[in-house]
Amino acid sequence: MAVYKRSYKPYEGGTTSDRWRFLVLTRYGFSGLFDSRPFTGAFVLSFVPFLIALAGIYFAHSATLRALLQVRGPGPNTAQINNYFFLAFLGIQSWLSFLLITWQGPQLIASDLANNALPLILGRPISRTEYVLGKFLVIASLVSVITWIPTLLLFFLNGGMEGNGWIWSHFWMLGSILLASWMWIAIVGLVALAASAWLKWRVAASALMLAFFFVGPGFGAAINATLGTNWGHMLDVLYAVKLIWVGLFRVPVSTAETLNMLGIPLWSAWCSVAGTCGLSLFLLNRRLKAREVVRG
Amino acid sequence: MTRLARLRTTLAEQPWELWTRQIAAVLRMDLRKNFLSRRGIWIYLLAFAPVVIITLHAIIDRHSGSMREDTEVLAGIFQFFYLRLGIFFGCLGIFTWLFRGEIIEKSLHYYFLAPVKREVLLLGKFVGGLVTSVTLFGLGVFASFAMMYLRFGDAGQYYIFNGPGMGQLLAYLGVTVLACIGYGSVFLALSLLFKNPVIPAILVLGWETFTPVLPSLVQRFSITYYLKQRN
Amino acid sequence: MSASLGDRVQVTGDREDRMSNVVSASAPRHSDANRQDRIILENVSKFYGEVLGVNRVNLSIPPGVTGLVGPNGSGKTTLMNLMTGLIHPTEGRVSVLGISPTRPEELFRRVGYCAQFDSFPKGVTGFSFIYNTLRLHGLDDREAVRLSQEALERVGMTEPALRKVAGYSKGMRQRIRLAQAIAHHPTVLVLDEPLNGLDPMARAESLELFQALGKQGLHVVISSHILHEVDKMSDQVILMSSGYVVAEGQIHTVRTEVKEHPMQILIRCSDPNLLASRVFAQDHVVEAKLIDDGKGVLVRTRDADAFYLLLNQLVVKEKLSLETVAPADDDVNSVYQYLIGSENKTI
Repeated sequence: MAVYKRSYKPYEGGTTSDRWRFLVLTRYGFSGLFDSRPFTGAFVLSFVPFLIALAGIYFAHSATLRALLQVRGPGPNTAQINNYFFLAFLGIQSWLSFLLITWQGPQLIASDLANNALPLILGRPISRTEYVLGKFLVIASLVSVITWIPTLLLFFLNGGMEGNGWIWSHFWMLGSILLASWMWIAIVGLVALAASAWLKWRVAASALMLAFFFVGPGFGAAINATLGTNWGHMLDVLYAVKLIWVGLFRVPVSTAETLNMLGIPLWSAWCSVAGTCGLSLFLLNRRLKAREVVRG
Repeated sequence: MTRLARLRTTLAEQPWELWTRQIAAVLRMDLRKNFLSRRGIWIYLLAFAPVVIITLHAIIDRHSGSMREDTEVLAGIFQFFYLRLGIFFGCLGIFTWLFRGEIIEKSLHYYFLAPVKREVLLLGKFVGGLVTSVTLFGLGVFASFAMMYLRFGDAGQYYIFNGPGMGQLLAYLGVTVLACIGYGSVFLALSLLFKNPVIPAILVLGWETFTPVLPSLVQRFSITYYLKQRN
Repeated sequence: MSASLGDRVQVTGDREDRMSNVVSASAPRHSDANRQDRIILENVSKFYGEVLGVNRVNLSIPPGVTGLVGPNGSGKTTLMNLMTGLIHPTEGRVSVLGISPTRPEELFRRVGYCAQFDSFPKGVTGFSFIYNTLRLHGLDDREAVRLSQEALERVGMTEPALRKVAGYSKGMRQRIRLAQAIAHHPTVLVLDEPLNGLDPMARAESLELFQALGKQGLHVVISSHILHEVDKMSDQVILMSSGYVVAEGQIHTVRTEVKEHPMQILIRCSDPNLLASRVFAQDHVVEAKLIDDGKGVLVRTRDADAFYLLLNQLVVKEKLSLETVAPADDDVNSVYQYLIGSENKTI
């Protein structure tokens, strides 16, 4: 009979909470993104519109400053701080976040695929859902910092300066800002992750992302022109987003018509957004596996 | 010996046959990769998506619409879909992948382990990309054109063979070839110069989009300007 | 500094000595005839930014099998890449059979390189991988098919040749890369870790193939970590450590030059006790140890020639009958341990 000495002792110390373990991926994702100095520079630059808007709000409420400027000349018209202002600010910030995510977002999964790291990560006590959540959180946090957080700051700043219950009378806009931003975060985040999951080369994933947002409208326009319809806009996610935002920020119908924004009903815009997110999730589910099937 | 005679002798001494064979070998490998890989499906989609729409249009609106209207729609599709988006992104995908793809898949060294001049390799790869892009987008444009006029029956045939139709088709195809050469060479160069050619490509896209509103002298530095001249 | 592996040996003691030797040595002059059949590196250095690849390497490699041995990161692959022109030296000159690696279209007609990267063009089959490479060489279809089949046969890959490489095992991929390197009948074959991933049978077959090619007059340069296999197949070895050539030449001659480690000699004879007592009296003998079965003695000596002379005298004088006299550490493994092992505990 063989005698085996059991001298090996497995690790029995403490571990982090199962529920929040995926945040490790988020942390590494962030450090990867900000390793790039040009990206960090671009991230900082994306707050320039915030500073301008800040100055605009202050200017709109500072009688002294306005008076000072009026002394020197006719003075500029004060900007009206209303729903259009916040819609425009959110639009600009969303574009900036889109550019940043197109640039660096696809590296989040593509680099894991290119270096065969997926089996290593999924070989740890982290599920596929947690993996996607961890990576998505990187994009979500980044876009949040650029979009809804500064917009809310501006909202409260303006509310504080306006006084007289301005915040309460515009309280609905709080929901609009959050809903519009998170819808944008979901679209950009999921499309970036899906593109990076399907293409190992992050540059190609960036190109795919661009193509998705730019070729879709072109194709939609071709459908509209050829078939004499407006349903081609369903393929233009950016159009759908704009349409929903116009509704969320209570832009009057006449203005929206002027902006050529009512080609399709609102529900179809929501369908378009839901379809984009659904397709992205489907692609992520198909692609993210701890093994790779080789067709020999 | 005159300079011309010396040049002639030098040219005659070059191994043209070997180079032709090597270009053919590179071409064969690249064409197979470009046309038959699953990765290239999206380029088929870009090239043939308008054909699907026009076919639908031919089926749905077979009893309505005028040829003049459809000619304008086709011109719009060609200028705004094919030229600005389809061929642009298609060439971006095909030509940046020619060498970058080999680098990503760590297979470029196999080319360097063969007795091939770098210039011959570059030419072979470029011709491979060009044949792929011209074939796909040329066929796409041709099929779009055919589907657009086929539904008009005899009138459509008359328009093509006895009217301005043939000239229009040849102009579209010519511009497609020129666009593939223009965008292809720009993107191939960008892929060799930059590790991330998408950033300069975005700048090219922006440049190509906004030059029409710039002064005419500046417009001359865009590919679309010359393609419009041909169109 | 070394002139050629075949005719002389260079072994140096510690790192400082080695460096000063290399620095002070002038690069050898090579005649044209010499260049035509040798791989020559003259004062070659390669730096990757501030990282050293190889430093001031002087080598002249004759035909036959040359084993390139050294720990990870010692500069073996860099040296091979320099020989094949995949990278260019920061300083110095490389010439392969008189051809500069900066002229790849000439070089690769005569050189086959099996690189270490386990990667292939997407979607290729074993056959098409070799066939395409041969077409790139400029061969016509018939010749390319013939040579592809021949190469596949040589590495035992005829049967799976039409399957996609992506589905091959590691050993099969290794063999198909080897086939690609030998398919165009090169005169110089550079093989970077060609035995990695091969099963014992395939290893034995490959070793046989390399030896056969070496005997046919090819230059076969092989890097490997499996020292006993290098020992078995190599006509000469190059030992590298931290970017420097530590020793080069035929292994026996290299071993003789390693003076700081006494040579071990195993003698099996009729009276090992007597032999041990007699040899131990000599100054140059450091140790005389009876081996476990009591039928032999292991001697460690600082002067092997003096010991062999003494042994002859003892055999006559004491009427000993000898069964075996064999050096016990005259192999790549021991030389590696003596010269590199102290610096790099792991290979």
